[in-house]
Amino acid sequence: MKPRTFAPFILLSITLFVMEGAFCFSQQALNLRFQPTYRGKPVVFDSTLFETSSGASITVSMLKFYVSGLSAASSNGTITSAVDPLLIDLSEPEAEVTLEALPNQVDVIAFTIGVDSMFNESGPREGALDPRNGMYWTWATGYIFLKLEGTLEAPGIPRRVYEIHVGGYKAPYRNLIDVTLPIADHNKRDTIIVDIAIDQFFDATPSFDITKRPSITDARQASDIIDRLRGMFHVR
Amino acid sequence: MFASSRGLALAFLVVAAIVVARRADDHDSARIPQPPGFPARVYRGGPCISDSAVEALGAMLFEDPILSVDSSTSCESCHQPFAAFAHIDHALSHGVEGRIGRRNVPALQNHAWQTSFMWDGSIANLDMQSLSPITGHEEMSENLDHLLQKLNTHPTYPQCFAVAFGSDTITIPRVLRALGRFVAGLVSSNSRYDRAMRGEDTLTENEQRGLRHFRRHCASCHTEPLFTNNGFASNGLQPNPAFPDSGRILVTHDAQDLFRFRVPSLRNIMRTHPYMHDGRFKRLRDVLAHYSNTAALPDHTDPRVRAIGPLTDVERKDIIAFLMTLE
Repeated sequence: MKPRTFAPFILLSITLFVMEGAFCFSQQALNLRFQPTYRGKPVVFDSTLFETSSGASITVSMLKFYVSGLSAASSNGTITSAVDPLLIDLSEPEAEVTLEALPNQVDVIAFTIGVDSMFNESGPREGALDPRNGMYWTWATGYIFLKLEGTLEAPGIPRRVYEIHVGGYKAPYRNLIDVTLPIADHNKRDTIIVDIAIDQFFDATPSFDITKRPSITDARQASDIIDRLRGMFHVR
Repeated sequence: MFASSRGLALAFLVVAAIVVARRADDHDSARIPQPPGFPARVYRGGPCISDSAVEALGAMLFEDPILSVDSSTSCESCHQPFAAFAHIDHALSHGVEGRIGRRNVPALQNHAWQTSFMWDGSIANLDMQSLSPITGHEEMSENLDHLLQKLNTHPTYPQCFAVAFGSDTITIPRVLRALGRFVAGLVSSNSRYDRAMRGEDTLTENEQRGLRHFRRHCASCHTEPLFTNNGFASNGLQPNPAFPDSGRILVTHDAQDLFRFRVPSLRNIMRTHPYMHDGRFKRLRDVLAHYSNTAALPDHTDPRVRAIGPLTDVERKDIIAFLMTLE
């Protein structure tokens, strides 16, 4: 694996449609940039080693997830993106998802990490949901919502990979992750940086020892870590 | 005013009729029959240029070993057309490099009315089903990018995709939909049983007695006319120590689903031996002997199986005679 020398992020401009209320449109784009960090430092995939609070040294080789139902709200109303999920792959920084425009001056953005039952049960689709993207479980419950992978080492534990795969669209293991992010400074700005604080997954309380659970690959196991994953998303 | 609104309504009807006609033409699955007495079809398919071309393309792909990593194994290798698309005389089947699968190959029939797929119900949509055998390690073990590369450089596939879908772009969703559409078109609705129910044939006395026993002992799960209730049950088999398999619990993680497997359709059953999820019984009489031996049933057995009770030799023979009419 070749180390990458630039901070991986994706610039995402998303088309939003008026869904309710009278929203004051500007013709500028609202860009969402997802940026993975570890305790505030940018993550370089496949190279930077971080120390978790449980004492493991980790790298990150993949962070890939579906974003559904992105919406932006202001006091004037809410705008929601098209329903089709978008696939965000932060390990491929070259991949830029460029869509059309719109508004700014928002108080809050919200989205769901995951793919709802309609898309899971309605058959194959082109694009983001193409099974070629490697985000589909053939043996269990449909789409994988999020993949976080890398390597780990710890005293007494030889270097190995960890893989955190979250999916599950049916009760009792319905693992769609709703994320709501207030925007403190809603002065005009055309880019909102969504910080994905990977340390929150590894280090948030209650503590989580990646060396004991290096492989989470089904809906039941994944249901234990939904709050940790939700906690990774912040707006700076 | 009245005349013009009538004119508008007429124009709307004409447009609607064209739209409906186009839909009927363009939508794959449009040509799948709806046999009388069957429930509403579950399979929906998707948009295409020609339903018959999608089905024909699916048939080509189904019998083509190009789907497997070493181009050795096709769908048909294990789903044999002469065995109602099951694998005759194979308890378990072999995929690429002689790898042995985990469960008995099911017959492919009336899947357009089936609500989930695989012995454990892990797959919710027929058009998604073939992804599992194509990529499964014990089956075709193929990588999707490699498969697309082979199909794209094939002398005839790009043209077939163009005729079916309107462009020669070959994508995995199109491959899956063609295979799903072919399987959805495998309909069993004209057996002697069906003809007898329609008054076009008559069952012999043994067969009629067998039907009565069947309705009393078996039909709560193997419900007519599909001969399955699309459900899952533990049919009282002892877990197989050679192939530990806890069944649907692996998918749902629900303790109630321990050792539960799909209730399979019994249509064409005389062609689909061996029987049960692990193919442990070679003959129908072994199956009937199992259901008849209520003393040996383990704790997890479904109460409907437990209620069958000992069947006499004559009852068993009659039931088998009836099952023979499902071909």
